Amino acid sequence: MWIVTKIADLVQLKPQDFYKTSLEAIEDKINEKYANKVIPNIGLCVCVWDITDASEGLIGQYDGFVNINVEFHMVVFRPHRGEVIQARIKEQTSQGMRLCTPFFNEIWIPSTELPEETEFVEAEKVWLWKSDEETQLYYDTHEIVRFMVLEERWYTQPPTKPKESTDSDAPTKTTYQAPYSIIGTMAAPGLGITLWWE
Amino acid sequence: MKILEAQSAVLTNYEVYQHLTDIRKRNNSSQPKRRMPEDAFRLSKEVLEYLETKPYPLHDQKEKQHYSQATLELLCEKLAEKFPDITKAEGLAIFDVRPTNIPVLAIIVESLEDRYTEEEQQQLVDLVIEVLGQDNPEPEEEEGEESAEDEDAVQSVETANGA
Repeated sequence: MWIVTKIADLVQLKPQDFYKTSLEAIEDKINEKYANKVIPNIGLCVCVWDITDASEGLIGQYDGFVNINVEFHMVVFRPHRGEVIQARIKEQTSQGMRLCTPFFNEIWIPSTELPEETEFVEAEKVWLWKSDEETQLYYDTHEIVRFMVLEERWYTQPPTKPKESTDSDAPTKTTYQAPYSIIGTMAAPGLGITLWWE
Repeated sequence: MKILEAQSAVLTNYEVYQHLTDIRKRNNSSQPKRRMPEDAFRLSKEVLEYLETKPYPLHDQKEKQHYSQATLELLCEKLAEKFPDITKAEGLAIFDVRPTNIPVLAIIVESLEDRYTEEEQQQLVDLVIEVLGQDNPEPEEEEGEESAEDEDAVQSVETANGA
């Protein structure tokens, strides 16, 4: 679920950072810029893997920053299609389940991708799997599950137009959509709550 | 910013875990003490927490250190020897997930039933347990001297028979 991406970028070091060695300062700058950010069609950046090339530092004319062209490898979170990973159940609705990991919350399992014999228990807001006539297995929220990645979705938020109306009572409703989300399945045997398959 | 190579390589959970742990160790022991920028630090903490969640095999890596580069190489070697048509991607998934029974193995290895008989499937599971260990009250296998491996192979067969 982790890939390495090679990126080239311009890094600007402030004079306040000159006490660090060049490599340290460059690494910190890159981590500061990229960590926890999504690059469309690439994935969620985690941290620098290594720095392969750095040019000489050229001092900019007006600001005194040192400009360095750096080529580096970045550790990126991007599970591929068909990969099996584990996550925690965050919430359940009749449409499906949302799963999360400590660092990523946009995993959605639609109700169509649960085993056939499951049904949503409205009263407790959990899904129930009746694997055979006597067994009743509940998908408990906060439990660890295994799921298989079906597809990934990329969304680029377009810039919003400036508000024209002077009606300050109406709140601007911008629906948030995650830049990177994963659709998964738990239909096949072996998937679902990990404790069931111990 | 320019993306030069969208995917230069694939990393296993263990490699990412080791990388983040090494960064942390290096930062803690440097003079003066170094710290990653806020977002990076928080993210690396969350990723480490994720990789140490059961039933991922790294959940006891700090105490047991049972996963290493040598373990990965040993797994690849044994797979190439006894199960040569397990693809590289499947081998990595086996290393990451450590399936200790056939249902979990079946979701990692494509068309498991078509490619292997039931006996061969069990042999593959036993190989995984032999090389990568499993969560057991009994002490686990590390990378192997012959005698330790044989001992554990006997142990896992016993468990399989007893279960």
